Amino acid sequence: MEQMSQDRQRVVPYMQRLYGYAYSLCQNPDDARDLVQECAIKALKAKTPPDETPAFQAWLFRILKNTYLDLLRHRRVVENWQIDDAMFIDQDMEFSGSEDRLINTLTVKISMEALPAVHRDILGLVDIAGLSYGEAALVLEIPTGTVMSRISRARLALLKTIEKGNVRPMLKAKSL
Amino acid sequence: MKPDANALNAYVDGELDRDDAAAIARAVAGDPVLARKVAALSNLRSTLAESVEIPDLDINDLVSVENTNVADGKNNFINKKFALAACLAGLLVAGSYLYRDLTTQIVSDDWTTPVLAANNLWSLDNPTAETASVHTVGAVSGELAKLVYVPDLTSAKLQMVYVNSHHVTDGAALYVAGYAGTRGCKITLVAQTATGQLDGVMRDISTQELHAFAWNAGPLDYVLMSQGMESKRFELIATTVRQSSIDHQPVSSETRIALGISRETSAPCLT
Repeated sequence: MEQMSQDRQRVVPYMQRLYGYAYSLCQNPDDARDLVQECAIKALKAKTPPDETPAFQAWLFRILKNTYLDLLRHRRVVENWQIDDAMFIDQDMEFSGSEDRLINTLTVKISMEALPAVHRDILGLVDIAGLSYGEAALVLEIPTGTVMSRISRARLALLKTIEKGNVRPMLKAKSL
Repeated sequence: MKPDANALNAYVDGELDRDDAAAIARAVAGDPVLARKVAALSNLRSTLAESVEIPDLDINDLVSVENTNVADGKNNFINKKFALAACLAGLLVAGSYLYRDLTTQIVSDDWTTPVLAANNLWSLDNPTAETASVHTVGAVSGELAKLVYVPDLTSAKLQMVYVNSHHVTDGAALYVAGYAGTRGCKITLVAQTATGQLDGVMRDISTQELHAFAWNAGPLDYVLMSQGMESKRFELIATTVRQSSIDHQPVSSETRIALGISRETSAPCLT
């Protein structure tokens, strides 16, 4: 019992960030909570979890992501996880000027739902769960430089989705 | 120096070493276009971080001793939560009558007509198209948008598909959000600056075509309307939305389960 209590205490500090990441992946609060629950159960049942903190954190996030992928398979849902980092061409971030007015919690939430899974994944790790590039690299088992290019591409995709959305900027009222 | 997109993002994230960060800071200081890009990225990053409502998660609630010893870890916890949520669904709807006025049409037709017409501003078939059946004459202040609390109703299998603001001919400024379900359900939430015609009581302002409730939450009047949804299910949703508009808090986990149960046990929406 004492060992189990210590194991639980090890998972507790990550719960909120795991939820944030789970929500980024599934975009549903009930599924996100279930994913965190399943992740915690699997972590506590594991016989040899990593000892070092960075490896333990990466391991938890990988468990969560794999649990999400299992959920998709169970529901027979196909998502686009294709990414070819070698094909990435640096894109200049063209801004139209209206982004500041359009970037609010509501437009970001709606636009995130429309993004491909591969972009939600990296945004979930870095922007919502708050992992550093190095920590995200450990989770995804890719170089830190690749994390940098993926986050750049995902944010550009999000900005473009926000720009194309049906939420209009608030203009000053005209006098009639 | 013109930093590429990777460098700008890494700069905003604090991932550059001191020398590289200083170089970009100098470039930003001398280039308004670059400064605007950095500001937009920084705004996006912080808004993303705030966009997810993180509930209180207690590991002892999520994981019982039995969970870690059996193959299916969900049994005890989920079953108990469903039983609690079923009771809560009943209590919420029953309790809504304590602050719900059964008198219909207590607010004037001049008030209700343009508000209920907002339901026609968007359609399930093409939610991004502007149907504009309510005449719009101008734009509205951003202050209205800042005050509105628009809840997440995904637990009720309702996705937000439409958000816009309209300034209608009688002078009212309306903030309109549309939710679509997977079985033909359509819910429209309208908010406007408080008019003094409503109080905190949830009032039934339904017509023959629309089931609608209205209430005041401080500086704003809210109206929630649906077409074809079963009454009990819509009342539960309206009660939930009203409470969220007052508390400005996300829906509790028990209420989310109750919304899910209500949806599973109700018929598809009639159109």
